[in-house]
Amino acid sequence: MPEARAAVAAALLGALAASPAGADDSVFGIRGLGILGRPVSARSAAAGGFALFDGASALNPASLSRWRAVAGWGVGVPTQHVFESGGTETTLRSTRFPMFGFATLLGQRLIFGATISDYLDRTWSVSTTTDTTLRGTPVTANDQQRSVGGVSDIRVAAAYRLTSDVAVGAGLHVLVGSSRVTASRSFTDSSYASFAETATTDFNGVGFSMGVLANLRSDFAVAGALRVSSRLKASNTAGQEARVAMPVEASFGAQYTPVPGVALAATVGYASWSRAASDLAAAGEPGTRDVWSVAAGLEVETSAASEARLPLRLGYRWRQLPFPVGSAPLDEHAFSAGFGFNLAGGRTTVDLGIERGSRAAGAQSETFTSGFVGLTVRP
Amino acid sequence: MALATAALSCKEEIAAPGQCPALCPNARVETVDTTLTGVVTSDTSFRGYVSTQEAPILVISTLDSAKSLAVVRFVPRPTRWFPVLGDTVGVTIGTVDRATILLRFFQRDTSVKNLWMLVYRLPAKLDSTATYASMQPYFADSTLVDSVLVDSTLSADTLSFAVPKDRVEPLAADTGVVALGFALHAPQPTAVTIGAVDGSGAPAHLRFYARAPAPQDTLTHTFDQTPSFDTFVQSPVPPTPDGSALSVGNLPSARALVRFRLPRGIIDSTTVVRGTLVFTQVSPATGRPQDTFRLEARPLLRDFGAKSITYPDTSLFAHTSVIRGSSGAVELEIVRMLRFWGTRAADSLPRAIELRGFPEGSILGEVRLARGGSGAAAPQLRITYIQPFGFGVP
Repeated sequence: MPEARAAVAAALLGALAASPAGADDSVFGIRGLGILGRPVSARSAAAGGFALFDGASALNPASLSRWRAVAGWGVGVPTQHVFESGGTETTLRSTRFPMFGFATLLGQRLIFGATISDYLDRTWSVSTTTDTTLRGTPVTANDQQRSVGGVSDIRVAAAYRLTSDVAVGAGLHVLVGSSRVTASRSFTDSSYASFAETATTDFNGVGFSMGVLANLRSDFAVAGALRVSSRLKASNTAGQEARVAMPVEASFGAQYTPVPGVALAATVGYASWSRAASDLAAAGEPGTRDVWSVAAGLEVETSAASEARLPLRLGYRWRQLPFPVGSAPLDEHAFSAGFGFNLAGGRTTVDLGIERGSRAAGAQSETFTSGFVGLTVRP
Repeated sequence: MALATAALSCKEEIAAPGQCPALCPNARVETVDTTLTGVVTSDTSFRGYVSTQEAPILVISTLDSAKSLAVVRFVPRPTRWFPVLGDTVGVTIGTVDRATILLRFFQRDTSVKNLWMLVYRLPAKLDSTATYASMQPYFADSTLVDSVLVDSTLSADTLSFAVPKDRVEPLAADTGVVALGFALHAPQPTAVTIGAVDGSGAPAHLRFYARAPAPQDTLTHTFDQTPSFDTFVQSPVPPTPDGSALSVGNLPSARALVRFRLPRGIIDSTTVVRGTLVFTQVSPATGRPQDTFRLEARPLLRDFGAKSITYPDTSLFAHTSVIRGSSGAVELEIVRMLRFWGTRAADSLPRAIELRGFPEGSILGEVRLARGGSGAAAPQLRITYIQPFGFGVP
């Protein structure tokens, strides 16, 4: 217990010392509602397709049934993006904390959990240079537009073990967040003062999800989840308001354990983002599309002399992103790897992972490298 | 663990170059540049804010455009001094060994050679009613105290010279008061300014090096007299503004009050990035030869006409330089003032400015500017602003 407390205290101290997630994320977040978040734990991020079966991920409320004790967890993700366009490369860095969660058992069958995860990432910053003529003299203006913020998904969910092999779950989602956009212009001619304006857009919406997780055999399990959401309401400090239809999201996954200690999993997801097309078109954004995602992964538990199990993980994922860049669709894929180890007599688990991937839309592309640091505490 | 987690917080912020239009926000910054005419609703100018006797400088000039003489009345010289602390009797003046005058020069044309400073004895009852005409008879050979060549005597802008002690000795009837006048003599018209007792920190000094009477004649003392009153008298005297133009500057100093009617759609609803107030001179700027002087524009806190109160925030003030003899436009950059007027804090403030010389009372230059209603010569406001940014949702 003292070791567990020390681990939790250390992680909290580290989180408090961390800067808020406000650095520059993907430039592709400019379009539409931003970059879709991934509500997965560090374990699922490294192992690909395990998210529907992972109690620490927020995709499937039924996966809460995997918890056998009270637990709390969090994930930190430092990321480096290298954006390339027209032969120019720009390196951006950010640190985000996309997932925090808590689960507790209410009796033998009912498990209650709460998570906060990234739903939409709207942090980006672009700069441009414009040559203009003012008072008959050429003047160079440097423009910068920056957005900081996003939409978080606060989920309150419960899972119920119908039998030892089947669990169902339901969750209530509250989408909440804001993004602060600043537009500024400065002139190379000091005779001209600089310009800056800021507006904050607040978002809110609600959703409902339900899921199932079933062990069809001792070595084979399946899981599925469905989520529906209300329109996402956006209102800014300039008094403007918009409501954007949210997609219906469905996922299905399978997990196979050929030998003890070795698990393979795959997940397929679908989201009907085309529902938002007309609402975003009214805001001047290009039309959105329905998107698919696929993820697969491997997890192998190794034997270790110590109590640490040291599972090794490999994964791959591919997904379509709903908001095009100009007329070019945006796709993303990544390879991942990681491992975990237990501390404090098994009451604390640290999961480390790394992901390397890319996004591309027409002539613009971006490679990213993310680290995942997950901490799970079972006091 | 804490270190590792805290290390995750290291971040670097770099903006990506915008690849427009695909990866640029839909809204763009739009700059508008325009010239507003007919913005002046009323204007006027007044003279007399800083008089010649209040100025920190004394002007001595032989210029054809403005001749002037400096006149100084010194504080009474005591009749005794107290060499021993606590002594209530003191020592009287036995003899005065010598007398000197010290003047601090602020400005002079160093190209003018063979420049002489002439010192005259004036009536001790010299006061603020002195004029050029009333003082001129005292600047005669019969009252000449001394003359000194400025070129070779001036050191570090300070002129210190001995004068005949008997010519500056106070008369018994004057109770220790001595008044002197200063004039110039040079092969060509020129002007100098020296420090006055008001605010310059470098007034004229009249020093008497005295000795006690025998048998205490080894006791010496220096009486250092500074002015109790000083001014300069000039001819012609700058006229009272007659309404044909706005006068700004000179001594006695003149200020101009200009009131505006500014479009609220621009001032209140946009971001002004540059605002230039353009005045047309109706005649070339006056002043000392080769002089460059500055003008200052201040926003008003309260409009009480000649007694208006200006807003105390000096960061809002605008300045410009004018060259004596120039006749081009006088331009003042007032972007800070315009931005301030667009804020809620300035809602109740008049949209008006006061123009004055800078520093007022220390410049001799003057500009005469065309008033509003002067047609094409009326003041204009050249303004560059940026429209409110169209952020949009979501």
